[in-house]
Amino acid sequence: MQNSNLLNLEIRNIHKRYDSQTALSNIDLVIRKGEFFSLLGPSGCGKSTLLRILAGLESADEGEIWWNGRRIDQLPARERPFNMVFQKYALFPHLSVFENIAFGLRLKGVATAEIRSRVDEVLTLMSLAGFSERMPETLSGGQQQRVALARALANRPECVLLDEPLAALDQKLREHMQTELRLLQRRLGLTFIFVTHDQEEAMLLSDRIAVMNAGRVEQVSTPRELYEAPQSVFCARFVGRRNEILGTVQRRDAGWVDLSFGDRVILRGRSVGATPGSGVDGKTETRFFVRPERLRILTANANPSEGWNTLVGEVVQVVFRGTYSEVVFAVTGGANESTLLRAFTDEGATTTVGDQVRVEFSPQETHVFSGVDE
Amino acid sequence: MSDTHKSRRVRSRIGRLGWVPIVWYALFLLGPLFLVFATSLASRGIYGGLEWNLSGENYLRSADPLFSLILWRSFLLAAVTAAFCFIIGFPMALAMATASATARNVFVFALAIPFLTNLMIRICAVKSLVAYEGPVAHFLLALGVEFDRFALSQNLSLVLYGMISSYLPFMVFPLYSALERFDFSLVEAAQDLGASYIQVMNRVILPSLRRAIVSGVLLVFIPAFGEFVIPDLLGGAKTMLIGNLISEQFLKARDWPFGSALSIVLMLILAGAIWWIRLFDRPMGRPRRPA
Repeated sequence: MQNSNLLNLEIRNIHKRYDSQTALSNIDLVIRKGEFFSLLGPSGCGKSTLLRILAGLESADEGEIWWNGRRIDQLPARERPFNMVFQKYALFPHLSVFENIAFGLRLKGVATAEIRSRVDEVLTLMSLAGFSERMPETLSGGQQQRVALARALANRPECVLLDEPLAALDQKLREHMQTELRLLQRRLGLTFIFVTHDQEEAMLLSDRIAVMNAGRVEQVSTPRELYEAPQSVFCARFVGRRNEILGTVQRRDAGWVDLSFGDRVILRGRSVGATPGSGVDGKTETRFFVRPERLRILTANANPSEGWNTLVGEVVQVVFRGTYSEVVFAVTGGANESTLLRAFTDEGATTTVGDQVRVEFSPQETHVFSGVDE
Repeated sequence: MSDTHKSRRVRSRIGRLGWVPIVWYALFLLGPLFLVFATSLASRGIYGGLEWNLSGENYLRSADPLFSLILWRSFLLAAVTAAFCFIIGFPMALAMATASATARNVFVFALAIPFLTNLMIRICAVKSLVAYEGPVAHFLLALGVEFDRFALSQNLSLVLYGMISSYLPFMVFPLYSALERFDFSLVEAAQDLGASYIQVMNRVILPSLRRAIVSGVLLVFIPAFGEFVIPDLLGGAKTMLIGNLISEQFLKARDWPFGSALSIVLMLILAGAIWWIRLFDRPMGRPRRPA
């Protein structure tokens, strides 16, 4: 068996500052060979900076980058075995599609016949056959995107870096390109490192996602784990929809937190990381997080499940979303009367505005985080 | 009634304004040009008048080797000026385009000051500096350096200095405005694909700027070709250039027909040069396919 430790990209303790601003701090990541790995975060979180450091377009102040057991962070961009796809494609406007794709090969002194066959190969791969004589400005956004990708692939890089490559495309084309990108990556077995601010895109494409916030990595996990077991408040808020319920901590034991919501209602949730609120119980306020599709609307005569949390409320809005309905209701019977919660349900048709509803949700799927504000 | 109809009507109304420059152009450029051409076919009367005998004699005269030499000299001066302006202007434009916004304004302003100063004032300032009895001469004398005081006040370097400093803004401004719009991620893309700094320059930056380079070269070359004031004042009026030659035909020799013929020849040469230079203003990099 091959030493799998050597077949990867290892980012060790990367730090980067701009003047007095910290752009990246303490980044440690291991990206496996053949993995579709996304760096996900809001703008300014440092994800693009990290990608540019990997490409060699910027240098880190501290830290090391290892590729298959070789240290590469001191190599200039042109000597790294990576190629990048830029957000606005960065196609050379004075060169034809063919020459754009052949650019790297010509610099390497590849023989003309070989260049021809390799360019034709990627042109076919990207369904661009017949476009080789065109100038970039005469192509649509989607076609330019393909040329940019073809240009990177023609060099046969071991790893492709993609900086929000789909951000400039319209919705329909973007969805199409997402599928294509994923299929292409699987077929070629290349490592893709993909920067995006679009959580749905990251979920759809990635084997694993690193969520970044304010220059730090918050969580590295598969899309499912990220959605179902977010490790921080930031991740819970950034990825997917959620309900937040503000209450007062009553009791804590072995990873569970009881929260009082109003006078009578007690809710139970799982604490992630250190249990929040070091202060006296009964004083500390915190938030529970629960996904809308985890709220189950109970019919009038149904009994709630054993040990589940229940809340009652009045429906204020029902939104039909095709495959499901979104029911928004104002919680009643609690101190925080203004709390609005939403539930995704298949049976929205039976619920109308003004109805009283009871919902239940499992404590297993109710999360509470340390360090949550308020 | 669609918006496109409306906008088309507005556009056609605006289009009519196009006649104003066309009339202006016909009256004040094509008209005089025609007069010059007509004059070039006449010949000089005994007292400097015009005799309308319609001959190509003046054009034959302008083909004289003596005049060819003058033309060649003028061409050389213009070409060298344009080349130096590019060599000096390109790094300047690059530095300006990549500077911070405030620094840019300072640079643009600094470049514009000499441009806005009258040519005579600038030349006289230089002349008074290097004059026979000027401060540079006295300084060198005080140091005990041996030199020709006369050659110091008028020489080829001074002419080139005068030409370059006068025409530099014409090169820098087009380059600067192109570089300001230049997408520097192209540089990163090229580096990522394996280009060294020199390759980035030769294969990406310069080819992307070819349109601006062509405009800059033309803007410098064309007026520099006919320039005679700067060489006269800083070069000591020793060398005859095409500009001097033409002005002398009109002002001193009173040979308007020959002066006109020379002007037409100069214009033809410049038109040819423009046509030739514009050949570079084309998309390049068509795939070179193996046979």
